[in-house]
Amino acid sequence: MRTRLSGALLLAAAQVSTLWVVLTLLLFAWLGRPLWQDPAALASLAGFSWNPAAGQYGLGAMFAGTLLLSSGALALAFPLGLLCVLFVLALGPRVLAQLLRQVLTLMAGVPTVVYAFVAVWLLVPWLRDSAGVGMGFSWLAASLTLGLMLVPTVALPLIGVLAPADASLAPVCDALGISRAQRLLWVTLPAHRPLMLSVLLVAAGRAAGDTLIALMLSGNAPWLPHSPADPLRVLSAHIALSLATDTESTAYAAVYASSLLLLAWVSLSHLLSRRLVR
Amino acid sequence: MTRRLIERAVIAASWLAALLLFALFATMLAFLAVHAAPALDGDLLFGDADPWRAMIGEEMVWDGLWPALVGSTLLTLVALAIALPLGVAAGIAQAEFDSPALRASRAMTDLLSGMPSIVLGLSGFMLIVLLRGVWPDANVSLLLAACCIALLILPYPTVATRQALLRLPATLRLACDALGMSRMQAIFHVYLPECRQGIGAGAVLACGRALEDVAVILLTGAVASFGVPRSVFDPFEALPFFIMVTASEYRDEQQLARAFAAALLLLGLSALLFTLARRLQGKSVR
Repeated sequence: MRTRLSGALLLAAAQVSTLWVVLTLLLFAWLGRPLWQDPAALASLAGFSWNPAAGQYGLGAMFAGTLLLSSGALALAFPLGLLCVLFVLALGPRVLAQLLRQVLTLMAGVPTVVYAFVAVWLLVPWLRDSAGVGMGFSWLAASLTLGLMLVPTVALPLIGVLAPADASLAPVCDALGISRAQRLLWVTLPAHRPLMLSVLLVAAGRAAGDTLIALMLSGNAPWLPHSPADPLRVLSAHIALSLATDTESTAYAAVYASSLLLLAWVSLSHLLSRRLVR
Repeated sequence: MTRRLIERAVIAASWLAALLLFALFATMLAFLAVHAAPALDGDLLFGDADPWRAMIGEEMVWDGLWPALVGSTLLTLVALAIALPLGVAAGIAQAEFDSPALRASRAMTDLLSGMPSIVLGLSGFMLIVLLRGVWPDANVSLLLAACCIALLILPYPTVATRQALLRLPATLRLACDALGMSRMQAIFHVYLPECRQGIGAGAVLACGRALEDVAVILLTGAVASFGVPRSVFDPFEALPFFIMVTASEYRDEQQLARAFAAALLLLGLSALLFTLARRLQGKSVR
């Protein structure tokens, strides 16, 4: 009797996550009714104009903002992370390589809000006053900060998998007279292309899901930027901002549409990355 | 020949990348330390209030980090108290049993671990809006925030437990069977004690995540100024929230310095938790 009870409890606990995901989706679908029932507002969702006063609830600029910010951050984080992996595994002197690994581990533990806070007081004034980037709060500022935050996200899993794989190739490559750098560059890395893509996708998911850096650094203007010096608004920040300013209205319901869109995008990159490493 | 050139270029670039990262990390720490320095004195936690009277709740702390520190700690502990038993139970079920529903729950745990925290916060906030229809006094609070944070960190103990159980040697399972243990006896008296370090690492990582997240509590009960919460139904202050708010508006230079000190404190706490988790993980793998 007790065995069956504890078995049932275990199974129930395993379903909490399922329950919550389903509940969240149902909740969003239910609360978004004002929007789903208004064909004009629903059609405007796909547009690029966010102007609730005129009945336009275009999320295009915000979704594009998410993509732009993510790609900006990844353009910095991925090469930098990969180079750090190379340095740690083969190219750097042992002491420095160990030190870099420690620093990467520490950086992975730095709270997002600390990155954002330092960037607000260090990077933004520098961009504004020395580099002449308009207000400073911009696509560029958010991308640089987010990119730095994502370097450990890219580097640590790669180091974790590549270090043993590279070590196991060592005897063969040594016998062939291939140097450590050559082994890593021409043998180990090409053999792990799916893993690298999967890590890229994980980082993309984190970049899109992050709220704090975007909210505090991107300037949050709800239109498309013309250059990296312009502000932009991403979906996650849009959710936070709409809730802070609005109450009961169709604009409010558009928040659920943003959430569903963001959730779909993040889940997609997550799923793809799982597929790749399996 | 070209390959040689590529190798040279990659080696140079990797040195540059490593040095850049060192420089950026050092700059960040130095910048934090320099700006936090004016606030790093005996008044950091309690300000002008008397420490003892503030601790027993007789005096409000207006210019210290004490309420935010207590708020963050309470939030983390309550969230962990919810998430740890649930997560361990879910991890056991996912590792030791098999059914279509459990495979689905594994996928959902993955999905939950990738869920943007702002969406989790929003769903908690919506729950309160719905609850208000039944019970008008329902409001955002420490309890709601802790529940949402618990969902945010649920994947950590779940995955840690599942993986620790799956890594157990087959000989251990055979030994338990040979002794005539029932499955539940084996799980609770042999497997789980054997997995405690892996689970511990998951719990500590979960604490770190709970401590640093702002997006969830932004929508579910964190406020800029309240003092120490009297019950779980009160709103609360939190360190990361205080840092975020101060980035956009602050009263005086003192508050700004205090936010830098808070960032340093949060960084220290996170680093501590991370190091602890690494230690535990290292032990559990060996």
